[in-house]
Amino acid sequence: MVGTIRPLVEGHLTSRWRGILAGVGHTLAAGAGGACLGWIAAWAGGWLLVAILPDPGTRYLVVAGLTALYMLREMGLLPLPVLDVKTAVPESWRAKYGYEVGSLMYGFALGFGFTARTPFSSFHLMLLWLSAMADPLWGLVAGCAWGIARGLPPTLLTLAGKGSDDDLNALLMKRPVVHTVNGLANGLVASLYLFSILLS
Amino acid sequence: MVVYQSRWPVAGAVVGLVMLSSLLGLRAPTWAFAVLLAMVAGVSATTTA
Repeated sequence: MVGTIRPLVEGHLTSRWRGILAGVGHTLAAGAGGACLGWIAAWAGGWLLVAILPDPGTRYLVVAGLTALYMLREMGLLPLPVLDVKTAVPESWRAKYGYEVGSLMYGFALGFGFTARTPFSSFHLMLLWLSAMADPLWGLVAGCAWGIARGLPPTLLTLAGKGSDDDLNALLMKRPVVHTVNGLANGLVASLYLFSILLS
Repeated sequence: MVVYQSRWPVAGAVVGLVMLSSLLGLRAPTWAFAVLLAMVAGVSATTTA
């Protein structure tokens, strides 16, 4: 979230290196938060899904089918619900904890996923696939990838000087394209699995 | 709902490539699905500002 990290990175007007450090810390903390989320999804979600569907092939088939359906949702063709937590991390952390600690806290909170908006189905499908795999190690890896992918772009955008209000508004206008990309990613994953078992 | 007609050719190309890779025996490991979705979701979240 560019609006969250921008003040922390730009705040160091007299020291660009401290701003870079804040951004790097934010990204790594987001990776750590995501790793925790992924581990929980694989362990707890895996325990639940394995109890309901003990056969791994069946679990993957169900999740692949859902992934295909949500491809249609992202393309605007099928109205399906997405759990979108309409909340945001507290802005008060910046003033309360300062730049360095604030960057880490924001990063971890955003990496953990459900502390801010998650309107795209790829996030929830990632958690479902991790639950289906029920492997905490891959939960850590994929969760870390989610966290870093979430924390890095806002940091890079801010460091590149693209964190103004106009830039943020332009970013928000990109939502339809992002839904398309989510749809394509969902379609790629679903078809990769479904065709591989059909043709095997 | 708005249907974006231009998405279908791209989606069709993706599905076709996947079918071809499956025929060739190229199978992605399951963990790759989770990692791919993770990266797409993470970058997508940037637009929540």
